[in-house]
Amino acid sequence: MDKSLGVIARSIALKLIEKRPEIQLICPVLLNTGDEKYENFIESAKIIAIDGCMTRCATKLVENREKKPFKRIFIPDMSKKYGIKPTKELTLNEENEKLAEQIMEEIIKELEDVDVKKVLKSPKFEAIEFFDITVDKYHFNVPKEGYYFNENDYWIKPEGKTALLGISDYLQNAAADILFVEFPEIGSEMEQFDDAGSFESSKTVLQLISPGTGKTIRVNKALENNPELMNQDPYQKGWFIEIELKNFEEDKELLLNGPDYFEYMKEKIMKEKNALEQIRSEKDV
Amino acid sequence: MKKKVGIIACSGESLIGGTLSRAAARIVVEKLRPNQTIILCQPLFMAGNLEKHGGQEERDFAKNHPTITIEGCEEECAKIAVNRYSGTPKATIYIQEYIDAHPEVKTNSREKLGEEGINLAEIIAEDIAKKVDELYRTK
Repeated sequence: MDKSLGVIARSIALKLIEKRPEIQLICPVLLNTGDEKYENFIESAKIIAIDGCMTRCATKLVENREKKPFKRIFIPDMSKKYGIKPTKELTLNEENEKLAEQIMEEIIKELEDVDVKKVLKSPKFEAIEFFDITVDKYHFNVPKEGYYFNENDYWIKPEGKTALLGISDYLQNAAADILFVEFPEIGSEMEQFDDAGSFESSKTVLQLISPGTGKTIRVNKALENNPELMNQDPYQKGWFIEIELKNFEEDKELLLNGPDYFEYMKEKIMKEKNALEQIRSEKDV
Repeated sequence: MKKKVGIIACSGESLIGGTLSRAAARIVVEKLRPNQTIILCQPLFMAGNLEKHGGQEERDFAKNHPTITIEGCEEECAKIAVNRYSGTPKATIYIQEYIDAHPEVKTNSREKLGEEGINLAEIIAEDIAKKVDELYRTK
């Protein structure tokens, strides 16, 4: 990092995340200071290590976390390959910028063959404990913990600096069979309560109203072929998108936790049930 | 004989604070106090125990010499690293304080400092150099 080779390595990484926002940049030092920031991500991600010099610290620091890099880039080799010498200046000169650009393009090309979205595996899911209620023939559940809800019936499940978003069991019941999904662009930013994509059911078209502020980093591609996952498993396999959170503590102020949302949902269901019964009884009269 | 001062800067991969900390460290070590300072590579420091070009030298240096950490963000990785492997750093510079104190400075991006960013790195480097002088005198 104290040499221009390190500056080139860093420049490539920054260019990569600008070009492909679904790629997440990992600070190799923070990765090894015991911080939990990357805990979940590193479990499932494929890692590209970009080493600036012979010490190959980036690779070493990834291996310290018992992970093997999916791809390794060694700047001195690349410098030879493209015939461009690293500058000794504080900032990159035009030639070195070009070198960083070329290496970045080379990585992107290789990733396109693999498809970076495929190398990001599905999130891991564990057993959930639910609050539940059955009204008439309909059964509704709400996770007891780990999930937060807005009053529009969308959930957010934070995991460190990222979060999954999806629809509640109540909403999937109300929407009926979900047939199509439309995701926001990877890299698109949203404020809390902004639209974050949409989905269409046999009854209606709904916008997903984001419970959090952040940037879309991943979408649940499985829903494109199997949108019914949102009905079958709304809290896990039916997740909609993943975002990089901006300030979840602030978002939380306008959200309900599991127990509070369960009460809110019950009240809403009972009101709807009573209203429906009222209409039916008026019709009968 | 006076002991050289170690400078260890935030690796700050995705932050403007990281870019500034690295630039400031290099200005001190390459231009302002080349004979009184040694730059310590933080990723190498963290990796440690490598068979070749191993980071143990970096850790040993920080153990036996006064060290200044430069933090690009609130994670304080440089300080944590030195504390863990070498002992308490003699001084810590927080880049965010400079960014807050100079809101007029607009850097081009987190990658490219631009002229204003380089000027800010020089201001930070001057302060680091003053710390170096204090530590170098006391040894």
